[in-house]
Amino acid sequence: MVLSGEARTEVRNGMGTLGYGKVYSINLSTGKIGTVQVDEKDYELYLGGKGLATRLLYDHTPAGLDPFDEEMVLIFSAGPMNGTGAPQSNRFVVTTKSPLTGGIANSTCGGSFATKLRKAGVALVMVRGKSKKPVYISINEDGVSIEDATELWGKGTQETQKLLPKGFGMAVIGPAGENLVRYAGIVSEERIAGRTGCGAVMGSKNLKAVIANGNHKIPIEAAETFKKFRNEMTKFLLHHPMTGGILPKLGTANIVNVAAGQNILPVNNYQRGRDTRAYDISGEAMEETYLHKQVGCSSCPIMCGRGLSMTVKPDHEGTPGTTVPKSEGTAKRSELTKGPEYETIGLMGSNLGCFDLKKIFDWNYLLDDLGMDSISCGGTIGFATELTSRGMLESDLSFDNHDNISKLIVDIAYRRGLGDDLAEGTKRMAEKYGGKEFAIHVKGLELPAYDPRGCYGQGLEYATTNRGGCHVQGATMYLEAIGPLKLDGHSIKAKPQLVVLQQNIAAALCSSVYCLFATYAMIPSIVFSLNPQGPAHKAITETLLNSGPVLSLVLKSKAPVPVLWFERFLSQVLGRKITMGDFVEIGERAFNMERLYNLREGLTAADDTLPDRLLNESTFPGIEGGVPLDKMMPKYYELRGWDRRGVPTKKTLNRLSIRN
Amino acid sequence: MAFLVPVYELSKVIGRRVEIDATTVGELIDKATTRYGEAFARTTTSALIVVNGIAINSLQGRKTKLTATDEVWFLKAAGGG
Repeated sequence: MVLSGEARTEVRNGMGTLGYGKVYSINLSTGKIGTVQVDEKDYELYLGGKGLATRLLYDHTPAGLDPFDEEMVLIFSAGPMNGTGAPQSNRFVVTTKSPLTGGIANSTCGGSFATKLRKAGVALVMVRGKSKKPVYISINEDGVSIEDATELWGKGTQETQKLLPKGFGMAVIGPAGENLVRYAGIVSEERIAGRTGCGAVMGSKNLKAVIANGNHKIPIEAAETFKKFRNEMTKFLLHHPMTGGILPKLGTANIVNVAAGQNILPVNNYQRGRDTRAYDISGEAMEETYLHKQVGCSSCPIMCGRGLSMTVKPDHEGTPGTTVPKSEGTAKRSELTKGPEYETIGLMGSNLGCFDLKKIFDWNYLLDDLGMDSISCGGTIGFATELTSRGMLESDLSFDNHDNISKLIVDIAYRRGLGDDLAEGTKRMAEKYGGKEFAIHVKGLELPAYDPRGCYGQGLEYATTNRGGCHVQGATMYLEAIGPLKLDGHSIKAKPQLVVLQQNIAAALCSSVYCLFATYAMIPSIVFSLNPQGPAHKAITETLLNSGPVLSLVLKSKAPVPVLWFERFLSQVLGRKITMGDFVEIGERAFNMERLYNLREGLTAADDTLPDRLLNESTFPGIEGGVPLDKMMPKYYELRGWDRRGVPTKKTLNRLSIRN
Repeated sequence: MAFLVPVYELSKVIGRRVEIDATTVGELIDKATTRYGEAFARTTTSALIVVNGIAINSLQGRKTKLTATDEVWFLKAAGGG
């Protein structure tokens, strides 16, 4: 079935108009394809990516709609930076209502889909309705077509991508999305928009894939300046100790040892924060034994992905995989399989009591191929394992034996046996079996691999982030524990201010769309070489921890010039000046827009909290209790311009020009 | 006592885990420096030193007392997610 587009409104990038591509509306129930005229002012206010998609989700769906209702909207969005070739500008965003939290769902994903979407001349695709049979959406410069996907239904994400037309950027679901696993993700190449269950919403529409391609020239208003600056920034990132050193060398799994050393690596469902076996599943261990080559997304110089040689892939019938050590000869790039990220190692490894890299390699592949979020999956299995150990659930799960995990992962994706329960996620498992006090989630979204009892700011971020327990909506743990600064994780000083600032910047990045890893180069190289026990390091950290009042003023002011490279790139691409103040405000607006969506859907201030275990149980000798959330939350609300119920005041909405 | 060395460059030289008898962090550093030389000494000035998950800056620095079951980790900055 091929349907031509109708009433397309050309929205050009650059001077005169603020848009950066077509905005399609596709109804899978009726087969109708059209375009949406976005208010030009909204491009200025929300930019694109997550911000613009959240605005459209709010405007185009009624309150209280079930995530799996036919009328629910699923939005794929690029941003004005995608496809420009600027470093780390490769991610697309998926936005909808979360089947896990009942609030805002969004997730970003690397690869090449965002670039291809823009090359098709498209900024955003809004899908609603439900097809009677499985379909995929194909987009190019000539328009949109809805194609039969019956033959693809039931297939894994890797095979699906091989069977789809060559040369396209792809966003596909696997069996987990088809079977409405509440934490199903959307896969592009070997990357996944994993969090919040967007893949399940896609499955509920009988939509197997969205693919895009084209030759549309992506406009850059100040092309020469941009080109020069892009080269400068690429060099800068390649010479920075984090983006040019640690990340490419060890991948995101470089965090394992640092997290374990600081007692914030989740072990056995967050019962402990460290384990002497951590090194065995670290980025260092992977580099020493199995890393054949670094791999990366398009237009990214960092190459943080891990290229493994998996000569036999684990399948859905129980055949284990075979991962070949690099000592047996380096594999060709075309033969590589992407290895696990830190979060997968943390949640599917230490959180399950598993310190065997080869097992984690298999589970990582299965999760990606079935199309499931490894964080939520690992969190839910960890919770079920603790339930079992306490006699609250009958199962063969154990923190000491992992022979059955591969089968369980497949059972979750196909909702078989116990897998059907686990497909519902931790929150719903706790409602059925009990154990709320050790159910590790926020708002229904399972927590990533940073125990906030060792980084209180990250705890505040988890509690307040609109999509639930998530680390990439601010990454405050980078300032407190993981990165070079080490801002005393057990101090609450300046943490509300830092969390607000970090969340606003992250939301602006996701509206541009940049990769969050770009921010890791914001800390100057020299800080990495300081002695963490020395006076210079201490002076920097003490100054930052005492900077709360100054940061409060910074948050209220608007820096009138570009400060970070993000705003400079945006200014060059859009042909209008974006200052740091503008950039942070774009993020603040997107964050508040998400908040309004959550409030409309019934979430309240009571949902801005952490699991009992993380509030009450200490894992640090000499420190009583967990994260002192109640001591940080009032200041956080005040800085946000929210009332005591966590509702943005009229003054805040007016200041941010948000219509409600 | 368990003395863990998860610093990338150094672990290749002295291994992933080493046990050293010491009653304070300072004594442990001195003994390890004698045993492993300059490579280890450099690490102590560029890595965060933690005992059982707590930075020695928040304890008593090099004077922090150690018992037989304590774990001392030397950590470089990390990033990702």
